[in-house]
Amino acid sequence: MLKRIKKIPLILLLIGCFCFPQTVHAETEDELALDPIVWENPETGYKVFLEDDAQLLSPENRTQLAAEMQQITAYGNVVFKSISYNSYSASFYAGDFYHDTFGQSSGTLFLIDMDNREIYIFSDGAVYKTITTSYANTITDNVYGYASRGDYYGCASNAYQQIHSLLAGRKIAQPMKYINNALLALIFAALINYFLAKLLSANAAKPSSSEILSAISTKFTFSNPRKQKISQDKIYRPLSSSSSSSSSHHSSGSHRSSGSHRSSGGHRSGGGGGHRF
Amino acid sequence: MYECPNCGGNLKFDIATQQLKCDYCLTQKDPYEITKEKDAEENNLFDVTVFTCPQCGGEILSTDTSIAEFCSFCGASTILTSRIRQEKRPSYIIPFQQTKAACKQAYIAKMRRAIFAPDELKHEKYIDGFRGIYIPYWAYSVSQKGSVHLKGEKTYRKGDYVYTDHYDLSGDIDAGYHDLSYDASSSFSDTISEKIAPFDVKGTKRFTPSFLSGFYADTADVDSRLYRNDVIRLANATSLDAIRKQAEFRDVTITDKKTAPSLSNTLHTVCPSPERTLYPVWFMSYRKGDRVAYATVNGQTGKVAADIPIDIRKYLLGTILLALPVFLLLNFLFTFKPAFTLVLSLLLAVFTLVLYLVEINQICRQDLRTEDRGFQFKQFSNETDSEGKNHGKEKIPPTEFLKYGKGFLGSLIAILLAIWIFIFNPVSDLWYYGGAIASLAGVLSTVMAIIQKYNVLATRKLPQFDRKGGDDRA
Ligand SMILES: [Zn+2]
Ligand SMILES: [Zn+2]
Repeated sequence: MLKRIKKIPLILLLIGCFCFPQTVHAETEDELALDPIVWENPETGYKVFLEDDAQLLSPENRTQLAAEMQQITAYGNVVFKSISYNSYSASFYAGDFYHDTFGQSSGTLFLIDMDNREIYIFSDGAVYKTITTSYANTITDNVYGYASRGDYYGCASNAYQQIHSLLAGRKIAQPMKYINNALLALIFAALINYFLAKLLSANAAKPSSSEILSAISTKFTFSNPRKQKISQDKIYRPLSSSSSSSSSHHSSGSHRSSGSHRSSGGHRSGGGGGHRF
Repeated sequence: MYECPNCGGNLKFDIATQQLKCDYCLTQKDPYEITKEKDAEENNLFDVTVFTCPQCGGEILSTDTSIAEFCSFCGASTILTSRIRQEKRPSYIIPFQQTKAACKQAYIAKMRRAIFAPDELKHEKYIDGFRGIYIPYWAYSVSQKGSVHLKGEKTYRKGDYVYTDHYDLSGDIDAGYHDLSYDASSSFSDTISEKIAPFDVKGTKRFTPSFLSGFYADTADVDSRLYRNDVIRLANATSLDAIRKQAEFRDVTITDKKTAPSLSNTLHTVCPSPERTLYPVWFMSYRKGDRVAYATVNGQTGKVAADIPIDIRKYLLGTILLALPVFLLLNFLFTFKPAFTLVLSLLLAVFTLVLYLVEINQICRQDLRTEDRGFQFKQFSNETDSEGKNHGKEKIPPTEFLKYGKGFLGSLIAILLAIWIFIFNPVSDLWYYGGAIASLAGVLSTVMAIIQKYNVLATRKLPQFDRKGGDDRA
């Protein structure tokens, strides 16, 4: 039953490719292959968008991957993008490309950036609540080995599978997280434990002078105290106005920082993570 | 031995009643009523049995002639040789107030907290080895009487001018500090006696030898002048502080320095020869290899001071146990990437390296100062020097530093490896994990090196006593 449902959109998609020969204005065979595969989930309105600019996938892989991506459209748009040239960072390109294609709409993008040799997952909207930056890092870490070996289809396919697992409320393996945390936990523990051991083995500090004095008998009287002024020095030292100027510096600094905050934040939303390969 | 007038048994000092008590017929006697012929007060000396350890040469005194079966200084279980000697008579004594049971209780309470201590230190059999020893102290008294003249000044602003008024301050001082006590036995380390201090000298009693019955005593072999400057310095500083607080001088700053040697003249400080006193200490030694650790309990107040080494195995086990909750906490909060983990572990390795330098520097300094009493004596007698300057603040040369081992190498190698990995910038996570594992190993090896040094300092070299002279001066 499930298999049949999966197949129907695939067939539709294949028909779509043949029925709308957008390849008319293509000039070469190569560019024909670059045309994106687009499919829309009729129930949710979310789309599959697959564009393999770097030509990493065979035509069969491409249709296969597009079919696998469809299950994610239950939750949001799903994009595959590969590029062979990128003058920005993978993360910047991924966010930019997603926003250009789907705006602020919920969805996820898997980017293979051959220029930076980096894979990157970018998500936005409702999907970003599940596929957080942490999970994007985890998934790309789980699959970067495929890309290193040149198996780009396997890389993307596994990434989408794990994205779907998370969106469907299932768990995925997180070896990176556990290995890193275990190593850091051991190092932290080694240091904390040292201070603990020292603290628990320490003796009370040796008594202060006042404690020593309180344990003995003392007497002190000082009678006939007299104070006699014998001389006076006078030095010219005018008050400076440095304090007021420093406060004005402070206020201008805070204005500048609020301005920069506005320009940097603002229209961009969503996020993700990646891994070099 | 003090004979019971009733049955001829051995009278011993009983802590609970503060009386001499016969083991057999339970007769109680006031210590001042029971004397041997030679104990008479007009006599400056009294008879004691001196037990000498054949292994370390340590000496311990007793009024009993019964056999002593172990040495408290080196921990050796051996029959100590004994002979009769005449000792100088102390002026005062604080009799034991804490019973052996109370002392053991206090020690056990302390060791319960010390979860990283070797198990042997907590064994009942070992704890039973506490021995009541009277430790000789020098009790110094200082008096200051006469008219005092000091300099003072007051600074204030009026418009664009800063005025400083200079004053002559004067008055009549009458101050006294009685029985400032310092350990007079070289076999009883200053580092320990400082920590179980202070004894409340209000509990001091006139000495009579029968107080010692059932206990041991240590010999006074430290020059009575050794702590004189400490005492004078403390008295001068305390009196000057008190003068500063006089209502008439509140608005003036006294410019005389607390530590200036000339202050003794200004304040008419007089410090006569100290009195010999005996203070009660429960004492136990723990021997491991060629090191010995001491545990002591103040026999008057019950304050505990013990050399507590850290058991490396317990440290490692504790680290693993502690890592578990830290791991769970990190999982709850973070998902780190391998490169970030390596940065963090690199920083922790740097921290460990700094920690090593700081801790070893401290250990080195402590070691140099405590091992050499002559050095210490020389420092304190150097009166022209103001306080602090010579008290171990000087820099330790790097060569001296390296003598303390190469425990820093672990962290250093880990740091270099991590930096190399960042320069090399590989793709595979495994490099970063490898670097983090190296940091872990480096941190552990460096911390363990610190602990080893710490343990060396927490324990002592087996003592070797060379008792030719003793103190003939006081
Ligand atoms: Zn009797
Ligand atoms: Zn011995």
